[in-house]
Amino acid sequence: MQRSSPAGSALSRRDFLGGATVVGMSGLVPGFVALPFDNGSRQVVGGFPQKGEMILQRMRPPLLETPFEVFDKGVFTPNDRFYVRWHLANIPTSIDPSDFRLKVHGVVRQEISLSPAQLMRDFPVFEIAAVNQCSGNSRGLFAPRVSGAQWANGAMGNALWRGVRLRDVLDRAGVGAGARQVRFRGLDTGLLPQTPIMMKSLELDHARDGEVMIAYAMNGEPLPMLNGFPLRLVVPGWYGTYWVKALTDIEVLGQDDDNYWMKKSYLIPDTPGADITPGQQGVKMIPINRMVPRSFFTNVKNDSQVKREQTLRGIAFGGDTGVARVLVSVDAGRSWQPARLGSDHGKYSFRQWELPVRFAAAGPQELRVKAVNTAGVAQPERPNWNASGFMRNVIESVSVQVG
Amino acid sequence: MARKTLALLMVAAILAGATGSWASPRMDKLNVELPTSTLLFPPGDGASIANGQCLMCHSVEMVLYQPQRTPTQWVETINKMRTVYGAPIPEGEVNALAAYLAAVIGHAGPRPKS
Repeated sequence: MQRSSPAGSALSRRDFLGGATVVGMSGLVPGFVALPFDNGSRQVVGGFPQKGEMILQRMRPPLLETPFEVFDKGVFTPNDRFYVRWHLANIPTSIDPSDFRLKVHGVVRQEISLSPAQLMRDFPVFEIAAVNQCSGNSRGLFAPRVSGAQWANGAMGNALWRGVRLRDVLDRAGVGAGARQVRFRGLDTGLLPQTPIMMKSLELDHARDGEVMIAYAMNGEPLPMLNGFPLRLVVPGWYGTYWVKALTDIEVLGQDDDNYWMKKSYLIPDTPGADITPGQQGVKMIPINRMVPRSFFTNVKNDSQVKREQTLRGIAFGGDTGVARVLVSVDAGRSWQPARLGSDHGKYSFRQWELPVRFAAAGPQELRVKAVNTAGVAQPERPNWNASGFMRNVIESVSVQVG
Repeated sequence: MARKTLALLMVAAILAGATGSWASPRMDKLNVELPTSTLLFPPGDGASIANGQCLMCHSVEMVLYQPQRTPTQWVETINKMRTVYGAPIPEGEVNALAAYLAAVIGHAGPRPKS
């Protein structure tokens, strides 16, 4: 995915996006990127607060994709390039942490209300490196296409999250008998009264597993406003939909949550890899949950020229557990070689990989990369499909010219 | 003396690290200003419905970026906006809006080279 000028084709064909209308953000001159699917031209813009250049998927509420070259620069995704995904019209833009409170209520012995300062002062510090990936990352690559945010592969990022364990906060309130789930709500709200407030829930045992946490820092800094300042739920190994931003309300439920965002939205087919045939009926649907392994090339892309001797590199993650190995093929999948893995930042983190290769001949070649996680789950050879465009994790391939 | 003080400070720093008492990031009040979108739907029969009914909750870009879809598929999306999110789109305008979106969205030509 290379930034390119809008010369010629795709953009000029769509006059309504041409010329002055490109502005939208006054005074800024955007670049462009061609995401690798039909209708994939996007602006690359600065101008969002605390953000560098991002691929614009929607201005309001913001959907911003991380340009893929960012993932070549390090194992952690910088805060100012970390992807952004909001659902509802009213998102927070002004927060004074001294006024902000996180309330814990419901089936608890004692309701509590905590300021960010109290969280920092009164609870043990917990830190974990974890990938946050949108459920619909790579949706634009689904075939047949499905509706929703048309992301390429950049709706993900890896950060070092610092904060407190959710378990410690729940225990401070005292989880009552009969508690089943824990529900989380942020500050964002809809514009219309009927719009369902975004809330997500976890089973009580999951919420108390000692890994789910409330983060007040991301890569050593307060979270950017667009990534959930001042507090955000971190659910290692699970899709980003659960990582509630601007977390302000925790409710311990005595029954299973039946709110829209758990019962009607963010559902996947209860099949291996959330994979069904387009049009398939009568499939049991369940809330999306654990992530699956993925791996990517970061220093070569489609149509790029590579040398006969070349070090290939990229990133991988295991999903809900660590990366066991990353395998690379330089002959379209006929043979595979294990890549050398970089530093281990924990099982939920990106893991860098690299492999020096020597191509047998010049000419076109297809490279592939696949990760196998420590539970033995490997990326599939065939892409999955479901109507929501969730959980894509097919083996990645790039076509290059060996010169 | 100075050397001893320095050594003590270093020990203190190591202990602080080991016990997890970390200099938390200063959390000052944060105000941000979001850019606004001035983009409207492309001209065509039904553009006024789209501009009038869709842009109150979200800007136009994600809609423009959808793949080509049939009027029936757009009716499904529009009805989700109406019934789930409460978009005040009159029932009598649903088909016209769907026909418009099917006609203008996703016809961006051949697949771009990345």
